[in-house]
Amino acid sequence: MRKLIFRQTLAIIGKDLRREWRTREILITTVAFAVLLVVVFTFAFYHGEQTTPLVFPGILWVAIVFTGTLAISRTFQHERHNDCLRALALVPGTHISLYLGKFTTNLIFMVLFEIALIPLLIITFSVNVTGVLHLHLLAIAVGTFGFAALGTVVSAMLVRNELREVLLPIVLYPLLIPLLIAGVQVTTALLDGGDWSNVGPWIQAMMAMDIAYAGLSLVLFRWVLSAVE
Amino acid sequence: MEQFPSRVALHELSRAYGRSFALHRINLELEAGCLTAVVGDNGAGKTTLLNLLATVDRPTSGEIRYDQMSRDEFARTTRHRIGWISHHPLLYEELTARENLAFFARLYGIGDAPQRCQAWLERVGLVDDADRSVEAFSRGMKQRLTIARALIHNPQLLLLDEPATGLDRQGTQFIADLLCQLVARGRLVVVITHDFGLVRNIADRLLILRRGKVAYDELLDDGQDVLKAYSKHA
Repeated sequence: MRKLIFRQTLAIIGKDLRREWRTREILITTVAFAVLLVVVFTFAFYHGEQTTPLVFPGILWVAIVFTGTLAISRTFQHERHNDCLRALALVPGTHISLYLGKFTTNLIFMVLFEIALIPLLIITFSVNVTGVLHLHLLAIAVGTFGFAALGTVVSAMLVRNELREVLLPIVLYPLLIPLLIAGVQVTTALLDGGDWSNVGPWIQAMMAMDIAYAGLSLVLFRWVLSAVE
Repeated sequence: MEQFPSRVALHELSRAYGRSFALHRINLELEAGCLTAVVGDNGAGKTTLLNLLATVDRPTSGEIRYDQMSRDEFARTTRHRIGWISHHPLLYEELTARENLAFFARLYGIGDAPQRCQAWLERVGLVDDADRSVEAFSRGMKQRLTIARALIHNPQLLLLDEPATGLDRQGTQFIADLLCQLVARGRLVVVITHDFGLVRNIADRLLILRRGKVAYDELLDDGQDVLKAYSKHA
């Protein structure tokens, strides 16, 4: 069964990436939105390098969360079209592989838009990341993992709901608050000249949250799928 | 292939939406090697019956047993033995016909997926269009692909809601022949249709639903007038 679930997961990832390659539905909208956010934030909050440590951590994480929400809200939409979700639910093992597949594709889409978003933010806010870039990237990677883990299951929960675009942030953001607080703390500490000794405990806390989010989501997904199929 | 389930029994099965019953206290036994045609007017409960059999819907009361297995156990462990055609094609429009079949074949863990897909594409007459996007397909072509998608994993229990929708005469004959072959191999087949010609040609048993209840349930013999039975009981 494990082998089947692994193959199913790969099939779902392959199908979603192929579909995205043809439609470019998620990447175009998320990258465009990310660029728009950077432009708005730069004009609104950038008043010289002295303001950067104050505003940059919040802007970085808000931009990741807003753009990520846009990507994650589309995760199950095309499964709803033509009722494909029901066809998937009839296959044994998909209560695990569907979650793993969708989580992985969400992670891939988020990494792709972050590749556009983060350098743009660093350049426009003149952030000095020399020497601590790896810690910045680690914090963003851990935060992205947790966001995708939780966002995937919440997105599945709301797939049949007509108000899903409105409800997704309302349900998801309160659950993400601990992860976001930790992420902002890490970025703030690094901008203040901190190193691993300052941010290590926060990053470890984020990792623990990731494990909790992913484990809980994986367990809950079976019930979510049976409720929405 | 093991013939499981070989018998599906419905006991006092009801499905209500709010205060109105789509199905009310249905008692039925369906056997392998028999093709049951379900007919009835709109709102008679045909699709609800099929959804309950496919375990994609839950009864309000009563029970369904798949051989000795309860509905929940069957849904949890043995759902892959269902081949289901619903009102929706359950296909990905942006993928090609071959990619759709290959995707479902991989989900079911079929070892020789490419060969199996090719065989089904030939069988449903879509080889020349196999690498075209499904969104460019006509309704009949989508229906042919839907049939291949529903049967690619060689299911034992076939639940087909209007399988001949959008098919031309040749396509309807194809599905009739295919279903006869599957019944001869011991599959348990339930077909919802409004095509009385198809019922006359392939059905072993006629079930007429009327306002959520079984109004008529008889084995069909050669001389039976299906249309007359429908006019009288539906």
